[in-house]
Amino acid sequence: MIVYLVKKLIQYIVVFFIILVVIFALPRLMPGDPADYLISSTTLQTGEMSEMLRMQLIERFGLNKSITEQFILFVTNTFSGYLGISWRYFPKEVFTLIMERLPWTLLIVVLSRVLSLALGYLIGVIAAWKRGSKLDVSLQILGLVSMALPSFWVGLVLLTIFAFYVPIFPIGGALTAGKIYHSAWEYISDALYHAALPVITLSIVTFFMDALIMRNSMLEILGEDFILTAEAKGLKDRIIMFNHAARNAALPFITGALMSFGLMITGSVFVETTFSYPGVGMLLAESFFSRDFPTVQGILIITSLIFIVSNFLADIIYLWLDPRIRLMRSR
Amino acid sequence: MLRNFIRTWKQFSRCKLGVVGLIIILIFVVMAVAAPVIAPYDPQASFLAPMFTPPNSKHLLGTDDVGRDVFSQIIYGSRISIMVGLLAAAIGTALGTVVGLISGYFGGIVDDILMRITDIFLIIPFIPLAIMFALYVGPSIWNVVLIFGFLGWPPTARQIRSLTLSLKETPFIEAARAIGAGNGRIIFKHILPNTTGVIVANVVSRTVFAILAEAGLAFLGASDPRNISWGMMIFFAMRSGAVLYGAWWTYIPAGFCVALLACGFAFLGHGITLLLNPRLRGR
Repeated sequence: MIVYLVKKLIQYIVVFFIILVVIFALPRLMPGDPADYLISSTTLQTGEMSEMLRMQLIERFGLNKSITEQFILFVTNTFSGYLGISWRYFPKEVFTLIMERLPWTLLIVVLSRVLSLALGYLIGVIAAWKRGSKLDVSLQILGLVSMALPSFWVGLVLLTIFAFYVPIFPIGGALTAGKIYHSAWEYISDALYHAALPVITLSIVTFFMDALIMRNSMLEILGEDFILTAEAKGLKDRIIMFNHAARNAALPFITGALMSFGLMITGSVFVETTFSYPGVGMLLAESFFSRDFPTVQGILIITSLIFIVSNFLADIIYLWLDPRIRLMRSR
Repeated sequence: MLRNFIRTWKQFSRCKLGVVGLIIILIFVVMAVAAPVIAPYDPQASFLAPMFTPPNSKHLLGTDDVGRDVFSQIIYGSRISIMVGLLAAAIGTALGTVVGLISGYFGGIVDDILMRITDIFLIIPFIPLAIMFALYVGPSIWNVVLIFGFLGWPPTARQIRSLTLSLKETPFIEAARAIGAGNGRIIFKHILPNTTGVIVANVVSRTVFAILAEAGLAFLGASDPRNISWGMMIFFAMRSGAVLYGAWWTYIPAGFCVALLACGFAFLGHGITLLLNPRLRGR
């Protein structure tokens, strides 16, 4: 088991390294001098400032050194948490900037994951139990439909209805601008009030797929002999459903949930942009717009890392939850 | 040939969803091909009417922030979505097929190396990479085609590989080898034709993601502003504050078209999967 995890870990490190190579190589593969290329696209374009910035950049990225030395510098910088300085929010460090925005993204992603997974688990179990029923059939169709739904469009529909025509939710942002909070509770409720529509949007897009994964996993378990035994013993349906079947079917559901967590962190860029929600996703869109290269690179590095870590966690939890694999160690 | 086709169609049409999907796609394809005939106005012509004119008899879906006809833009937008979606899916599937065939047929070290690479590609986060790519090469519709094409092959590679693994043990491949057919001939003449179903299913299901990816990147502004696409329309609507004007017609129909077209491909993919795996039908 340990050997397997180490193999996986090495694989993930390789992936991360490849992403670093891509990030490092892209500006250098473009025609022209990378420093010129980087500077020409900033807002600081003319005269001495440009020359000064140019010298700084050349120094910073070690562009006067050989390619291998540059790469080593880039990797050591990255691993020491230095991702460069944002051009848009000059002179803020990219790492600090991302860490400021990350909690907002985590808030809406975690809340929507919890909501979607809890409901998905419940509905998935019931749909599998009542296979072929109206609930089951509509779940399958809606699963296909939800796969095709652009999250930003769902967000815009909700925004138009619940923030414009029936204004019960704010039009955007994470907190009411300029509001002074008298207690922690006030702060939390304001944050949740602003997070509501983004969370609902993300949940709508993921819910049906979550439920379908649970349903399909349940169907496999329901065909097993021990379910027949439980039925023969005269146990109540509800007990067989949740205590016998669902627990055994939850394994792929849980690991899938963890893996989708990483996916959602990058996917939330659309929902955040729709609701002008100041998370990492919106930072990515903003930075793209102001051609803030270091920040875009930094976000790619950090989100890849989150992505990879959540995948690795999913591997570990899968092994840990499956007793057949866990107990092999003691043999 | 014709009889075969009719038999396949009869089986396929048993799945209502698949037929619905096919109809949706056909409608959009007709719309894309006949765009100049159907569209009442030039999609790029501005100031046809005051900005944010609500839907009326002259402008079925109103006008946008610079007075362009939204209905005409939607009709032309179908071109980009269909083209980018299919092209990206086709490149991804083609790459995946080649990798899967080689990996499954040769096995051993080749298989090991290719499958490790496949695993690696599966974990690379697509959206931030596509955005960074767009930043360096400039916004263009080709970004999605290229990035999605080159990152989107792993699932296909895995499916084709496992299919190839079982195909290469079959007697007819053995027979081909016995009469002296080379590896290349066996792979492309004998194995490849037997994977057609899986390839078609893959192109269709990958198209769903490619359509969404294209619309998503355009929505963020990472697409070519000269080519009107549905995502781009929503991007411009957001920028001009259409939500605050209550000008829903500038972004709701465009997003609906993205969802509908992607739905069409998702349904068609479902139908094809059922056709290929009759065992799934009861489920």
